[in-house]
Amino acid sequence: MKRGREEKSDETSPSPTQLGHGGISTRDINIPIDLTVEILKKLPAKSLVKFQCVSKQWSAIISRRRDFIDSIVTRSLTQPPPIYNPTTRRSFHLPKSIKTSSTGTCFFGYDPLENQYKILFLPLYYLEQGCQMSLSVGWCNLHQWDDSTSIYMLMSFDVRTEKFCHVDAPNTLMDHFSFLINYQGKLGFVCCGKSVEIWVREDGHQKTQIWSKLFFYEMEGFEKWRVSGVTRGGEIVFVNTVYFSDDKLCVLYYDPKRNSIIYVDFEGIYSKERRRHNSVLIWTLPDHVENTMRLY
Amino acid sequence: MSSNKIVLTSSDGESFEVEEVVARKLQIVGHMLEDDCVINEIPLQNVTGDILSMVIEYCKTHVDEEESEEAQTKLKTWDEEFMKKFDIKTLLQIILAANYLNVKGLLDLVSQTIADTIKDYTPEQIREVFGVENDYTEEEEAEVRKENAWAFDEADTPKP
Repeated sequence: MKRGREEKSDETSPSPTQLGHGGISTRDINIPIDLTVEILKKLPAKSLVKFQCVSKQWSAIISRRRDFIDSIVTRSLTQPPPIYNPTTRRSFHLPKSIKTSSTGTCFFGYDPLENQYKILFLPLYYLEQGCQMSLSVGWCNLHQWDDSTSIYMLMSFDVRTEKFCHVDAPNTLMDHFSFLINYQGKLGFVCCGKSVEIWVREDGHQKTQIWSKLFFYEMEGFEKWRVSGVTRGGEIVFVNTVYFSDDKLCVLYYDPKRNSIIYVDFEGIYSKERRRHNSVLIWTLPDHVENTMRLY
Repeated sequence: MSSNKIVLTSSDGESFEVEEVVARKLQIVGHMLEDDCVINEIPLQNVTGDILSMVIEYCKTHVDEEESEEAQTKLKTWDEEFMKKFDIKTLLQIILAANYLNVKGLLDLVSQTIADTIKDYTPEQIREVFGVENDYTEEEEAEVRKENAWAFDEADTPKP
């Protein structure tokens, strides 16, 4: 393409007019696929999901190409952890902190008296770095453990006073892989090993708290099940761990009051195209509530 | 640094005389200079004069990248202003040129700018801009759209 330009200087300052998308013909520009991939790597995840509709090739890059997916995951891991409100569909990135970039667990709590939401972060390896934040304040160091001996204990955390407290627990909880549950406002846990046990902590005499076993069943094969929580009706929800998306997602609702079990299979969670290839880990949240609170 | 001048010539015959340090920001030129030091006129077959002039403008600004935070912020602001001038067609031409001339910083900058520009496009607009042929059948496309319906929902795009 020969253009009628006269200036030979390297001082040129190009000023192409800003055009809307409509009138531009890009037909003579052919972007090779590796450059397209570089552009896609910079798109937000939501746009990527949408652009799977562009073509089968674009869909294959976005949903299956290993180096592409790795780069999206890496990009995401360098971001501070977000919290997401499914009701308002807004997300909020927590303030950056060196501590939150380490592996750990986040807990989300609400103090109804002060009307404050708080996030507690427990680092996995360096317990002396325990920290928390209030949404508008930023991180602050909360508790430091003096010794780092590896022992299991049950601790409660008061969201309002921000204090940890030791809670007595039966040996079953300490010795076996267990899931803590909120059983109708009471603390409980489910132990799935060679048997299934459900325990709840209840009020005893003279303001003491005692643990009682609600359920015990000698049954093999429960190692594959995870407990994802309790419904508001009091059914304990077990989910069969799914690793590949062509597996069904099996969910089991156990009602201790009626001693009844309901099995539900979820099929077709993923499209046929994706079903064959992807491994997935599905998190189920049985106690979802709606909340229109603004995150920021 | 050497004040040696190098003449870069575009595919449409436009010539640009630049300092050697600026020309070396184009890695394709850097490699040629390493192979033979006496070159002082380099023809660049795959880039037109108007696009080459923009690449040179970028390289001149980035010729001595200082480490200081202040300098970095200033450069970033300049990058943003620089990119604002271009429509999507020009951006695509610049990314091709940055790739061919091997200017890493510009490649990153322009691919991010393109991503920011196209993120709200519809799949139809994407096909048109990138010249992608839609190889889905009508039924397949409807299914993919249905599965990813949430991504088409404009209402949940975060707003400040």
